[in-house]
Amino acid sequence: MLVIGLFKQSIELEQALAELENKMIPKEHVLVTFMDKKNKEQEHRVHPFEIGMCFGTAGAVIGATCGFAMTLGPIIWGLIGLIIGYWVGAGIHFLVHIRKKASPFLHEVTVIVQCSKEQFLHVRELFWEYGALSIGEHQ
Amino acid sequence: MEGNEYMDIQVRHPLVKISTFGITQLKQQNPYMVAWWSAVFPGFGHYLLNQYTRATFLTLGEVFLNTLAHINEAMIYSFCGHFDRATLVLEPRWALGYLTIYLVAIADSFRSAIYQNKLYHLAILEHKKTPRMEIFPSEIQYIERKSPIVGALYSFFFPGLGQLYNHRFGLAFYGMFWWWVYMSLSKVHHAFLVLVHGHLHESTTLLHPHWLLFMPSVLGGAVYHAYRTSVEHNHLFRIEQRRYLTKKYQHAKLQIFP
Repeated sequence: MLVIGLFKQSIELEQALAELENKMIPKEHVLVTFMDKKNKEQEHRVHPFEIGMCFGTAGAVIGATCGFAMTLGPIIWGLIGLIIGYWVGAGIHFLVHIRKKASPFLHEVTVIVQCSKEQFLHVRELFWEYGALSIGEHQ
Repeated sequence: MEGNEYMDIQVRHPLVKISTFGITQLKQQNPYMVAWWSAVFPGFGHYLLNQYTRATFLTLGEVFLNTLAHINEAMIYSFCGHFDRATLVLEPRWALGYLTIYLVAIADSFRSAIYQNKLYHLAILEHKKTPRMEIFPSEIQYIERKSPIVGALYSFFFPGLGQLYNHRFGLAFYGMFWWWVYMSLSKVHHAFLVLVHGHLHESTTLLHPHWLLFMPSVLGGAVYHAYRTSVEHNHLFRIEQRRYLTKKYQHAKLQIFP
């Protein structure tokens, strides 16, 4: 029978696979497939947090400098500058990328194992133990 | 020895090196982001490029030359509208050299980011094997999946801690050391306590503007570097795991349709 496990890429996935081999399931009966995102470039796309930090840092520097001449002082104005700058930056990012939605990324690896009925429960338990997101079976 | 040609190619464009000091890697860079962080604090762009030694010298140069040329004071006077005082406070002997180094550091990091992107492209196509971990007499270093937000938060609480989270302990302690220096010389902790008690004016007069003005840039840079490094470690983790497991299980003989 077949056991199908969906995983995130993690060290636990490798622990699960190592344990499988230890449980006498031959390597040839394990199929590991890595899943791709819709757009591969998404991995290198700038996150709104990054733009937010850029503008936030600029805002904090300007706030702290101008703060010396203002009632609330440089510490408070620096923090205000950081917050305003951050949201200006993140806002610009959202406006620019308003149409491009990231595809939902549910799981990264599919593992298919062929095993006997006696081994099935062990394999399923092992998958759950090492962080499988979802498990399916086929008689 | 299998595939000697492959060995040569690997040596030519390696993607990553694990050393006592952590993980040094080529990565996809956004040149404008790198240039921006160089503008925030000379050397920060080079840290993002993993050129740690020259980045450290640039940051040291920034602190000393800024102090000698009174750049931060001039910035405060200019932003507050006292342009005549800004002109007076600047030390021309150091200011012109400071400006040159500042601008060339930005340009150099921008140019290097573009070139490293090309190297990254070659490395990702050519290389066959990525190291996962190394054990040294004094350290264990490995590629680990990280949470970028946790790294950013660590550095937000105390610059350097995010770098520690990313196993980059040399930069971590360098950053923490300078944060202590800025905190004590700017008297920010004292001013903060006075501020919390509601004495706004005393709080402002306590502060040392020159040293305070380094702090927002360093904080922002440390947060961004920690975030970005975590993201890149995750990327590396995925590449390495995918390469290794795909190769290991390439001869699967499953009977899906009996």
